[in-house]
Amino acid sequence: MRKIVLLMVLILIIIGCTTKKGPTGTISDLNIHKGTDGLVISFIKNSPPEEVFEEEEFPVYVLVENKGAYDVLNGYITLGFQQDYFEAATKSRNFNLEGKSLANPIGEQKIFRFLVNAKKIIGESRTVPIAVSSCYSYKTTAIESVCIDTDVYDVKAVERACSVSDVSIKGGQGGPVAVTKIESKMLTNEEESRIIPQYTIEIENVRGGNIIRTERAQDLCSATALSRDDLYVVGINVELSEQRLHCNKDSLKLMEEKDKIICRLESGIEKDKAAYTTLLKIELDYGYSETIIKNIIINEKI
Amino acid sequence: MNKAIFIILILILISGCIGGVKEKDIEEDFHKGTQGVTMNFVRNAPPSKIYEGDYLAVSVELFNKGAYPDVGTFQGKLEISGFDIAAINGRWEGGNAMPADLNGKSVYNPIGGYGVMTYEASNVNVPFDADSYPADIIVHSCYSYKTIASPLVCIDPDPYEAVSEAKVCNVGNQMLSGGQGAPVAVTKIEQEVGADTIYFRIYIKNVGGGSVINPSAYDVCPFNLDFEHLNQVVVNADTSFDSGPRCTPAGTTSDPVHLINGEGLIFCSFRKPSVQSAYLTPLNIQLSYVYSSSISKHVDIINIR
Repeated sequence: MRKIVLLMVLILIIIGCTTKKGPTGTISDLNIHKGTDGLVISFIKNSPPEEVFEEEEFPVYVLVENKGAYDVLNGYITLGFQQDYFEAATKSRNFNLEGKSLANPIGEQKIFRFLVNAKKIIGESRTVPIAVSSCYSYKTTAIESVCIDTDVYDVKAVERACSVSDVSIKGGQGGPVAVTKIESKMLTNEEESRIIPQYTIEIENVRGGNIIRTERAQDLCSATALSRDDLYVVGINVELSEQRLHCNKDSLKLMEEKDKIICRLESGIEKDKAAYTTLLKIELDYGYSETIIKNIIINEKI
Repeated sequence: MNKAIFIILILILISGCIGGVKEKDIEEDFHKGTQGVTMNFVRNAPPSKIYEGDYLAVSVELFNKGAYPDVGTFQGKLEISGFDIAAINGRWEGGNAMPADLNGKSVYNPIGGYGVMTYEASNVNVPFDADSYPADIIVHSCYSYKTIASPLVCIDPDPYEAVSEAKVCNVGNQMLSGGQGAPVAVTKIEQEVGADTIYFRIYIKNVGGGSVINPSAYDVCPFNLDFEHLNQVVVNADTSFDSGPRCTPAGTTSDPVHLINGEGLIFCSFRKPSVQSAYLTPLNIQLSYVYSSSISKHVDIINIR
């Protein structure tokens, strides 16, 4: 009996002494402004089913996930189908969906159900697509560390905290439109008492969805006529150390995959300051839309 | 018997090898070494990671490891850079001047002066409410310093005389190693004797790893220094027999010695003393300059919303 007690005590001591590795990293190590996803929509497995019968109702479940870093307010999803083959009492739903945060690092998700009725077909079975589109206003915020170096010609003798360099950014900032490159230049003004930081910012539609002016986001999910002036428009606001920069255009037209904008701090920075690191904030506002499609076979009832 | 002799011999050898207690020479030469004022951050001040809203202290320990000044008032200052004042906006507690009593090593203070200075910011901020703000905090020191070297040189009125006689010294070059208790050192002295003149070529080197600056540029150090102020040393040289030698360059603030790749020289001509035989005398050399160095640490300000 004594031996057993002694053995148990020993085991307890050994267990107590064994170091267990806890999770590494801290709360703040998580970077929520990373990734190229915004709102991601997908069909739930077998919903809609691969095959349905004519004159039968079937459910279409759509999973909507906000995998980006911005909250969606008044987003829309809409069912799209050929009215010759399907009908549904409700074809669109609107929703709010929180993005990723330190409190919720995966972002909010919701499942929506649409009931669809397959109409009677003439003849044999048919393969017909059902589409679901998401339309939402979104924002990408890129905050990058940049160097302000007042010694443009490298003539000062003091040690520098940083040096000006271009930054290539991979992996996005938690939105489907991303800042992919920042080219930095320090220009001298006429009096040469100040330097003018200038940034050439490259923006890219990294998910390949449709872009529209943010105020018109819902139009992509409705029958409203679209204006050419609104399509592909990304609003931009650039600030350096909490001062707004003056850019060569007010917004970008992302007709191609990429576009560039040039922004400057016109007021400049006094040359007698030593080099320092500060933050450049680039805010992009846009409406975004993506569509998923599934082909369904409508079978004739025998 | 042989064994006994052998053991005694070994004991004698061992006792001979063990050194006795030596008294430290109180007249130790403090004008030795290649350091001036050195700095290091106090542990965790600044910390490598700090959170928005926290108090930030950047504490710097100062050690005067050189030999200047032995008495008098030390003049120096610290400046800080590397960050955006929108993130860190503080001030040096008690001002940015180094303690006036940060004297060098001396008989009265053999370890040299010591002080701690703290830059404090009460409420650090992450601009734009971003996730974090990274900064390389740099603390720069600028201080007025002097190197004092007094090597003994041989003054021989006629080193090339036809009939050689016994002399206390011979004219020649001499290497000075190990520094003179300052970050700029006299490293070599070359000597030649002319008919009426004794020539000295004095070699100077930056041995402290920092920047040497013209003394007139103290006020613009460190942020507005440019290459016009850099690598310049003011030199004063004299002897007991000539207090006003002619030097090239003049060794003044307007015509200083320029250090190229950290090294420079001054050529001085002294009037030959009217003596009959050779003798040793100190060549008093004083180098004046502002010295600057820096230390840095990376700090991340974290924003947990």
